[in-house]
Amino acid sequence: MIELKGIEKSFGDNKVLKGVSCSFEEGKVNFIIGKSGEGKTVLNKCMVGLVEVDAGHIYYGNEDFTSMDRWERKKVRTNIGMLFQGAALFDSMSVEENIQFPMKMFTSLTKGERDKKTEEILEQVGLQGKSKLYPSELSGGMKKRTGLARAIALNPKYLFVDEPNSGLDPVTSIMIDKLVKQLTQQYNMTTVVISHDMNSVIEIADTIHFMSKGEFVWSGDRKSILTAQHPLLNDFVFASQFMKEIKDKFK
Amino acid sequence: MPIFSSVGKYSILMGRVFSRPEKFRVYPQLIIREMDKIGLQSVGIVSLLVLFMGAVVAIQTASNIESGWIPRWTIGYTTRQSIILEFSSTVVCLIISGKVGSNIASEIGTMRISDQIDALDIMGINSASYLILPKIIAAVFIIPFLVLLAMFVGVAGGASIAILSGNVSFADFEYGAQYDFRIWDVAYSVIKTLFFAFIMTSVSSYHGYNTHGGALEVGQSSTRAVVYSIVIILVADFLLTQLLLL
Repeated sequence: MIELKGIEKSFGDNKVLKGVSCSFEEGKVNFIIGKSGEGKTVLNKCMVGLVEVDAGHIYYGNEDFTSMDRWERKKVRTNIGMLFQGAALFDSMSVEENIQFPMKMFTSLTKGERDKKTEEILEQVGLQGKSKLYPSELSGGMKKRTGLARAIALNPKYLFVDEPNSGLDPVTSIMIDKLVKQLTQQYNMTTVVISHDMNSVIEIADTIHFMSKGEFVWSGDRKSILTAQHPLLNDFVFASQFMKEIKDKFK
Repeated sequence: MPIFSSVGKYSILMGRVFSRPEKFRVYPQLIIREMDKIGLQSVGIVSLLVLFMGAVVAIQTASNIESGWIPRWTIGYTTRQSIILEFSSTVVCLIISGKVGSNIASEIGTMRISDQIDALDIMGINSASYLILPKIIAAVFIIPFLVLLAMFVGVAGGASIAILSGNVSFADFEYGAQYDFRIWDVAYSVIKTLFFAFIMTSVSSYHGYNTHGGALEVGQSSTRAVVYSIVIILVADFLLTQLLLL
């Protein structure tokens, strides 16, 4: 479980996060949704320690991440996996080398053991036979799956996923969504997904936090989001004509 | 003042680069790969460059000797001194800065804008040390060898042209090339190179590591890396010459 208490962050005079508090549950896919520029990515970067918070606390389990030094954080970070928007695969490494990289750096597994584990992970994400390809030879969906494979290589407790469906076709998007859900349940991870893709939200979200102007203004699940009466949330969820028609039919 | 801010950021980055790495075992392989990229892949351009520099120095010296009182072996002596003291170290390092510096800055800059550096940090890896330290160690180790090669090729190039063009006999050039030879001159050149190698890799890495934005900014970082490396190498050349030769 990840718990946020009063997270604040400013860049100069621009206060991006204004006392964000919430908790993300274990074994569930927790979504943070909101329009672009509302502070989702900054909050995500704060949670993984890429950006330091100005005030507040982030707890991984019972451990206060914000008050840890570099070496203490390093221990926590070995339990964190992250899938970036663009996958962030290492260009100079093949699919196999990308997945084995965290194993090489943080475990004492032999080459045989690493190869075996890599095979298992590749099978889980549906990339059998692609281990020797380089990122430049992969499609967008394959890059995301490789990114996910690398993220779960060390069996993390916490998984962060940033815009998993950006740039993907609808079929591949649903496949990635289902993969995130499946891996979350399989490894009993606390998964936090940053997204503004409503299809993803409806497909796999267990809990949803809606962010507006640096604050969570609504929290709920995928059923309640369609009937919520929050005007900002409604503007976001039913922004398209298609969603408005669905809402009317839902009523 | 932006310059003080940059010096501060550079110092902090170097502090991270030289802090304890995560896993020593992976570094030898990275260092060897960088030695290949920085050193071996520069052998061709360095050899070509100093070959012609040596030839030009020899021709210019020959064309400037008008007085009969100046012996012809001066051509060998001047070529050797020019190549060893300045051309092999400073000019070669300036050229390598252009090639290697832009490569380092664009490689690290691209990693920065495509979140690869963030990915390393999130894994708990000291990205500065993992990416930059092997480049610095490789350059400091391999570039002096390039400079030694440059000394040999430069003097050989000068000798070839001077002799083939009939400006000096082989015996005269050989006499001049050996006249008043001091090993300290070679050492001075190699010592300078160690500093230059550190400057070109660390400054280029700094610019790449602090890239923000997109492809345009990677190009700008790459240009800045080369310009700053060259300027700092020239200032260091002046200071080191003062310290070591006077």
